[in-house]
Amino acid sequence: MIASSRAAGRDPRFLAGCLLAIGALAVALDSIPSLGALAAAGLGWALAARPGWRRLLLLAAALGLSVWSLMVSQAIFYNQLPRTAILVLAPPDTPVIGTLTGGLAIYREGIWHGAVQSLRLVATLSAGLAAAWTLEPSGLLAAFASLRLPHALAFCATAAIRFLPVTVEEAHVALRAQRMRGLRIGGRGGANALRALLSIARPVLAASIRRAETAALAAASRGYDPARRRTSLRPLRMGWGERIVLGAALAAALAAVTAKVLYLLYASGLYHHPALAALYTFTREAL
Amino acid sequence: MTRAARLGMTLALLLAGCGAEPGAPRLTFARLGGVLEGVRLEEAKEISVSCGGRSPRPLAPRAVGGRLLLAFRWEAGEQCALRWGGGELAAAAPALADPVAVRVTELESVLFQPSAHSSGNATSFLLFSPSGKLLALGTQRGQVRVMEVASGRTVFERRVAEGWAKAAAFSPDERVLFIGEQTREGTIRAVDLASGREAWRHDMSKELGGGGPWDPGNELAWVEFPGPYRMAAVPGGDLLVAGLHNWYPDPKGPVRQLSHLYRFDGRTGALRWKWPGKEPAPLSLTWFALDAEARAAVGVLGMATDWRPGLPMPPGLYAVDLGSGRELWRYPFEPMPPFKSVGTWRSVAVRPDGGAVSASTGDGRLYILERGRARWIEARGGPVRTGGFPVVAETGLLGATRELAIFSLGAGYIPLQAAPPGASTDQPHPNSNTLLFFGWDGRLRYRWAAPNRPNGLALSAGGRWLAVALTQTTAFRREDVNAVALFDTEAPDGRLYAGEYHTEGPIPYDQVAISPDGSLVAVVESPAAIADGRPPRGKSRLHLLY
Repeated sequence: MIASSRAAGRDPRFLAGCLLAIGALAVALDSIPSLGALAAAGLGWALAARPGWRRLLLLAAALGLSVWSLMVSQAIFYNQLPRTAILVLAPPDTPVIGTLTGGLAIYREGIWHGAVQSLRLVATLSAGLAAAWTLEPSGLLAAFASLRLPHALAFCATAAIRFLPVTVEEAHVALRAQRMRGLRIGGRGGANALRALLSIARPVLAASIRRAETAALAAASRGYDPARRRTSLRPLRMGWGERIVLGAALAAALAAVTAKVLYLLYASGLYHHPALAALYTFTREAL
Repeated sequence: MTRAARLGMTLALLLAGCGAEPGAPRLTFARLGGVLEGVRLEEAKEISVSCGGRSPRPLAPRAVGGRLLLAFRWEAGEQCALRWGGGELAAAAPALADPVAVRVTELESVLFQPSAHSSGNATSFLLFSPSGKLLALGTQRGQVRVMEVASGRTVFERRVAEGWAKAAAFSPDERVLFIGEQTREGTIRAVDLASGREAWRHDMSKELGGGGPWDPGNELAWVEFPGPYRMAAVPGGDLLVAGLHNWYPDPKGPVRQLSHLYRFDGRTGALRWKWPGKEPAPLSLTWFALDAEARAAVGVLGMATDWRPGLPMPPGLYAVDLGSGRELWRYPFEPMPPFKSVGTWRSVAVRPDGGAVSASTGDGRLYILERGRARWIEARGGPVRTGGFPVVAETGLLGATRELAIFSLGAGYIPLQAAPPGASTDQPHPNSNTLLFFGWDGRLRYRWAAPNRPNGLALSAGGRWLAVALTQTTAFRREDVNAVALFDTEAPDGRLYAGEYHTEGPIPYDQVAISPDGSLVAVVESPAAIADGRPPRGKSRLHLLY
């Protein structure tokens, strides 16, 4: 499994670091050009992972729906001035809805504002999917070990992720069994859904405990001792290219967050230094 | 002939026609002569002009914006003939020639545009150099740009961080630009235009205090930083600066104001003197005016808090000797009931010989003084009662020539100190949007009802040409007129109006400049100037007019 991850050229530490950097930048950045560049980076990463047609469709659907919903909501509820109504949905004198809201319209500036805001989502969603597509769960153990995390915890986390698909499959089986006994999930005004959840929780939980015991016994029978120092057949080694990209991404994120924190301290009147005036202006306008 | 050949021939004819038209020589009459297009300077280094049968006169054209500016005299209806090396042109003169645009620069590509975190980017100053060869422009987001008038080429650029580029002045030799920043430090800088090197700087916050807005990240709040409200270089190269710091030490408390008039050695930055000598004046010095020989400066100082008798420094006019920095005379303003304080803005002008001063106060009163004593006072913009509230007309823009005291009355409004809470302060006033040209004896010589709100005023060095910016306001727009109107204050027939030039969008406050010789007018149009809930009109443009 590690081999396949290495073959894909994706060190889990590299993926985690890039995700951290993109997440931090998505929070720190505000300007249109910088968010656009971040979204392009996230999207580029997702496309570079060479997703198949199904994944590409998934990406397009996820991004399309997110961007669309943000643009529609901002187009209707945009409250800044100036704003240009391009379509009036409910004039202010419309009974109830018009009088309550002061009229509903689609504003040109709101559409643009929604599109800009959705750039954050495009960046993080694309990057997250790219990481998920190129990450092998078993590679995580080596990554955690290289980060010097307690091995017991790393083993537990990796095993939990590894068995997640099995648990989901078991939940499907339990649900199917309930349906064959006549359960209609949508019935009784949604109350059946709650019942179904409770009824499948017990078998899924029991199976998980059973599997955990089996896995623990299997590990113990193979001489697993969390206190012993471990070696790896193929130790993780980040390539120079990955190191440079990761270093640049983390440095950019750190710089952006630092600049933003300094700017917020200045803008809130808590701390100001005259020598940082140019940085404040750069942060306001470029970030 | 085949169909394809016919089509090809038609296209060829069309293209040839389209291409030939702009190249044909064309003369547009202007107040000082005309603008010749379609002729290159190399072809017409000397042009002979004859109007109304008078003998031909040779003249050297001036190339600006790819056009040739010609200075010659014409009368309405006259036939004028132009001859140059390779061509000739004849045209009939109109009754009145409006200003002609010689270059329109799109500032979108030059200036930063408003962003989600920005209040806008209106220009904050616009001025010609003493020779009229350079034009400097500053913005509320700290951009400073100096352009060559003839070519439009940028010769100097600078950015002020976290503040406005509030004011500027050229040194008499045009080698140095003095830049005044409204920032936390309130810095005055002297910058060499050729090298960009900073020759000296002075932080006014040392004298006026460094306190600032409670929200320094808000560009609108930057008005609470100390800054230069007017700068002027005097003959000899020294620099005069009206420094004002106007801020709220406590957001719920009263405003605090501190002012100084400074004189710096223009070469070294050494402070020659500041007035008042020790402590700053607890008033707002928003403007000063000089006589032609720069012997004295008259500053106008207003007051934001309530007036009371016996103030050691009451609001008013203060004349300062520019050699010694000592006070020559003062003329205190007292509030006009029902107001409790006296507001002022750009409201003082000095007759070129220094013998008389015109001024106005925020309550609508107009003044003419001689040697510190009032010769004439009239409340042309004074309070009229509307719905029980006093409505006045804006009176903050003044000009002075040898013969005339020029007052501009703007929109009508209820001053904040008398306004009902939460109500609109925009109200009609019978004298709003009017230009008044008084003789220094107080007799009205000429009155012009403006189609919109006068928003800027600039006089040529000799005082002959007056340019007034007119712009739309949020209330009581008679028309959507955004324009520059020109006046010839020395017109022999007394008809001062000399044409106007319209812009699509509004003109920000005080963003009109006229070259010292009066030949060129620069005006900035900015769609961000009025936030009235409607889509902005126009674009950020710099218009250069002849």
